This record gives sequence, C-alpha cells and structure tokens, in this order.
Amino acid sequence: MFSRLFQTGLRPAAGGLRAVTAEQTRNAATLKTLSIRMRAIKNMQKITKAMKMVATAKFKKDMRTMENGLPFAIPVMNLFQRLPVEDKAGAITYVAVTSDKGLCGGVNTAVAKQVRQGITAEEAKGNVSKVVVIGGKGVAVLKRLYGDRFTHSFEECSKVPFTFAAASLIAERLAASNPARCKVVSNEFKSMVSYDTIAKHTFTVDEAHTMDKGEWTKAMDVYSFEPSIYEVWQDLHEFYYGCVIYGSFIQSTTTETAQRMNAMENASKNAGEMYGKVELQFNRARQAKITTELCEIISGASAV
Amino acid sequence: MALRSARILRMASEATGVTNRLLLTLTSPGEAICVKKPVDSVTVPGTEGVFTVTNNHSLIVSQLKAGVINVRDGSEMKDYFISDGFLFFNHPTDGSGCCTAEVAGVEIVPTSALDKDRATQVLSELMAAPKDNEWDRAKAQLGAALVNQVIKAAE
Repeated sequence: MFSRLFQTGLRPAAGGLRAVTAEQTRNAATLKTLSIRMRAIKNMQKITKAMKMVATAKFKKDMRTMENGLPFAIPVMNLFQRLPVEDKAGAITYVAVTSDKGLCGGVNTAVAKQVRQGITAEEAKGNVSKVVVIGGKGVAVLKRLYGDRFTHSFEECSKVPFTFAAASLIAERLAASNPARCKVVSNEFKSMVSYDTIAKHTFTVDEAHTMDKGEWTKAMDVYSFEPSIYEVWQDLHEFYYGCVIYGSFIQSTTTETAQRMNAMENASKNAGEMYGKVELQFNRARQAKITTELCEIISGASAV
Repeated sequence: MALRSARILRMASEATGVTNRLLLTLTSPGEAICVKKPVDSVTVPGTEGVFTVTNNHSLIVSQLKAGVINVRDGSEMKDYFISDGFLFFNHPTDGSGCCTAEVAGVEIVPTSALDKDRATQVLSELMAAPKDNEWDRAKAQLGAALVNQVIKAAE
C-alpha cells in the first residue's frame, strides 16, 4: 500500500520535472514540489519503521503466547483427528479467522480467498453455506459478497490479549448454532517469512452422531473415557471447539505480526529507494536552476 | 533474549534420547509448565476420583475437576493446582517406549502460588452475593466448589 502511495505520489513530480527541463523555467516551483515530496516520503518511512519496531515487539509476545498456548490446544485436536473425515452433503459453516488491522501482507486476503473458493465449491454442489468471521478485516472483505450468509461476526478481538475465555465465548456461539459441517480457515504459522492458509475440518456434534459406528469404534474405543463417553462427550466437544478457535487465533495473530514486520520492512526499503530517486531529481533540478541563473548573470554581464 | 532462553529451556526439558519414561505435558492456555518432560508418575483429580498414571498405562481420556496434580520424578515431588480440564494418555508413536500424558487445564498454577486468605475472602463474597436468577446460583455453586478446593490445596 505504501509503495503504491509512493508511486502515485512520485508521478506528478517526475512529470513536472520533464516539463521544467523542456521549457527551461526557473525551477523554483519544481524544487518546492520535490522537497515536499521528499519530506512526505521521509515521514512515511519514519511511520513504517516505527510500525516495524512495534510489530517486532508484538511478535515476540505473540510468539511466546503461541508457544505456550499450542501445547494446550493440540492434545484434544489430535484426539478428534483420529476420527475419519467423511465427505457428506449438507449445510457447511466456514469460520474465517482474520485480523482487525491491515498492513500485514496478504494474510487476510488469503483467508478470504480460501473462504470464497470453499463457499463457491460447496454452493456449486447445492450445499447451503454459512459464514462466521473473526476479525474486522475478514468482515470488511467478505461482507460484500457473503453478507447474507453471515451468522456471527466478532471484531476487535485483538484489542485486549486474546484469552481462552474469549475463544470459549466464540466457540459457545458456534456450538449454539449447531453446524452440520464446519471448516475453520486460518493461517498456520510456519516461520518468520512463510505461512500456510488452511481450511481445517472441524468435527461437529452432528457429524459425530451420524458417523459410521464401525469407524467411530475403531477411533474411540481404544480409549477408556472417564466418566463414560456418553457423559463426557458434550463437555469434550465444547472444549474441542474452544481449543480449535484458540489454537487458530493465536497462530493467526503470530502470522499477522510476522507478516506485518516483513511488510513494514519492505515498505521502509521502498521508501528509501523512492527517496533516493526523488533526491536525485531534486539535485538535478537544483543544479539546472543554478546553471540557468549563472547563464543569465554571465549573459547580463557580457551585455553591459 | 528472554524468548531465546525460554526456547532453550523448553528444548532442554523436552525428551531427547529418553526411553521407557512417561512424558508429561502440563499446560494451561497461558502457560506451558512442562512439555514432554520425562517423569515417573502423575496423580490427577479425575471427576470420578483421584488416580495415578505411569508409563504403559492403558489409553485414557479423563475429565479433571478442581484439585491437586502431583508430579513425581524420582524423589522430587511437585504439586500443581488445576481448576478443571482434561487428561489425554497416549501410547508412543515411535520406538522410544515413552507414553505421553497431556494435561490441558483451564488454569494450572503451583500450589505454592495459592493464597488461602484471598480464597476465603472470595468464598465469603460468593456466599454473600445475591442469587436472584439461575446464572447467579450456578456461579455461586461452581465458584464455591472451586474456591473450597483452592483453600484445601493451599493448606
């Protein structure tokens, strides 16, 4: 975004310069325009540098939260992953996990794209789709096309540190809507520079009830449940929903800050390059102005 | 720097080349107390009673209630308080012979961090609070059960 800004900002200045060299004017106006442009670029570079520093500090915190939170969320997810995924027809709920703020590369766009593709594919098969969005950017992007399919949207989740209580609140709303099938679309953190956007199949209560008994027995009967599986299942399933939301959100937040760091570093670099180019034009214009003035003085002196 | 040292510590605590031990993961959403730490046994407060798991225990998924988790490693014993959660016991997926016990608790703190006086104060506040609707009554009942366990564990 910043690079686009710089480019659009640079165009009139460059055009102005061409006009100036062609007409051989005094260059004062061009110099002023260029100096304003240089100041603007410098200010933007300062902003992007500051944003990068903020993102770096946040990234360390988010990374720590993710390292602590994932071992909590993964065990129950591993248990449910033992269940086979059956390709069934029926209504599907997409949970899009995005961020509240932009300027973080393509993380939110990637999630929105995956949701859009998923909904298009499901609706082509004749399945009804619903959308639950976490994060303001997801709401803004998906509202135009799928606003009528929204069941819940949660914004400003990152305003205060995201806790398991917040995840449970979202999970409770999700469980209350009793989805037939559910997919959580989020960004999985891989490294500082890379991430995967995945649509995680999340087992619903409905799927668990209608599952093939043989498959169910094979996956779950190896465990002894305390209390018995019939008593504990509802609690376990709610805990599973909470852990899926919590795990996805903390990974998405870490990815967002890592990508923001990269985006801001690139923006700062671009701003530096832009500044260099405009500075060169400024110096040329300044030199041309001096030369013109010298010529005028010399020709004036020779005329006397 | 703190992040780097935390990572080094966690890597050190994770089992490397350990065989035939129980690997314990004790985590709450905000804190991973230990991740795959080799221990001898762990005693947890299940909803149907307190029980101990050691290496090669049968596969189990247990719901946990408020109480004390006791981790034994040789002669070293450590106590943690859990508000509620789940225990997942799994057999080894590699040839190490190390089973994994994963305790995911909503809140887990060392028992030394519990404040008995504050817990007593909270209990009296819960008892004195109005119980006009079902939510208030449920909150008071669940809160009292939890705080009673905190007081018991802090003794």
